[in-house]
Amino acid sequence: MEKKINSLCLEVLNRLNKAGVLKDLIIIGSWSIYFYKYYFKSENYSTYVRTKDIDFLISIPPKFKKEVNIFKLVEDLGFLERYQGSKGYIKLEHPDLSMEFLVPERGRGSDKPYLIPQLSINAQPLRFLDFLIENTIPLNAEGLHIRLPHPAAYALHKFIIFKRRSKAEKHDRDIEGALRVFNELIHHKKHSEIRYIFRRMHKKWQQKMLDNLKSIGEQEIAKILNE
Amino acid sequence: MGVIKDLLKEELDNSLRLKVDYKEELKKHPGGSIVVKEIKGHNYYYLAYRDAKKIKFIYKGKKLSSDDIGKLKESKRLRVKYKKLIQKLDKRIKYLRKALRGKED
Repeated sequence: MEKKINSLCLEVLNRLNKAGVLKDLIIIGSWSIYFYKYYFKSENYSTYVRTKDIDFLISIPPKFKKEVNIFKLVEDLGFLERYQGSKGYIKLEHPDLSMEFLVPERGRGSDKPYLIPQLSINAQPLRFLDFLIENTIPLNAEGLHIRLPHPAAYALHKFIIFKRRSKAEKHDRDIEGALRVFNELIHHKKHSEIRYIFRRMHKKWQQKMLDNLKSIGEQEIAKILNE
Repeated sequence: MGVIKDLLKEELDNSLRLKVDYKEELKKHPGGSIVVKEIKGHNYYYLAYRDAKKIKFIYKGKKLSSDDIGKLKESKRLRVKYKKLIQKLDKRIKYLRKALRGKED
């Protein structure tokens, strides 16, 4: 089952790559955990992913030079184009994989979908995503050049947002994933990289994260960040 | 256990919703084949498909462009794909319902 999902995900990424748009998409969310195996290159690192959703983060204004209809690109794989909730955010759905598109929410914010006509999609604006855009790494994964948040940025971002989750399952998943990636970074002695990224974060966000870590009894992590 | 049950319930709801969506999509892709009827020395193209017990014929014109044929082929491919995915979802729904009925430890 997991193998099939992974191959579908890779097929989608391959098509985005061939269409020339993958380089301007950042893979975020739980799928990052899977792809960090190419960063850690460690046998003990668990790549297990508990979600079918793959989230693509797009920096604004978008830089796409080509026009590509993403839905048409994957339609023959069985994806359906669906509009979520009252705002109508586009989601491309398949029984084994769902694709969603996100952009950073800035200023006073707006919950209106952000239109990306170059890809014939819209994207959902969310808070704290600029932090991920500012801290990305390129990775070579199974012949593909992909962009992901730095693992430290991924973990720190999750330590901020898990409190905003209304569903217990997503809340727990955020913490579990963040701890898994964070502990692997510690195992690889990446303390200085973690602290460097932490210090680039807005002071208010730093404090919010430290409070969140305290609330789940992870003072050890807070200690590492403050060293 | 509550979290796992919520997760399974969410997956079941998603699968049921997606199955309905695929069935809706199938209606847009009736499938069938192109048949040519020769009437008084002229060719007339029809799309023939089965609707329950009846075979229906939809008149498509005296000529079919390669674009029309391409669209029909694509529509048939999608229909086959959607049917397979519905079967997959049926299996998943059955499994999830069984898992949700199971006793909690």
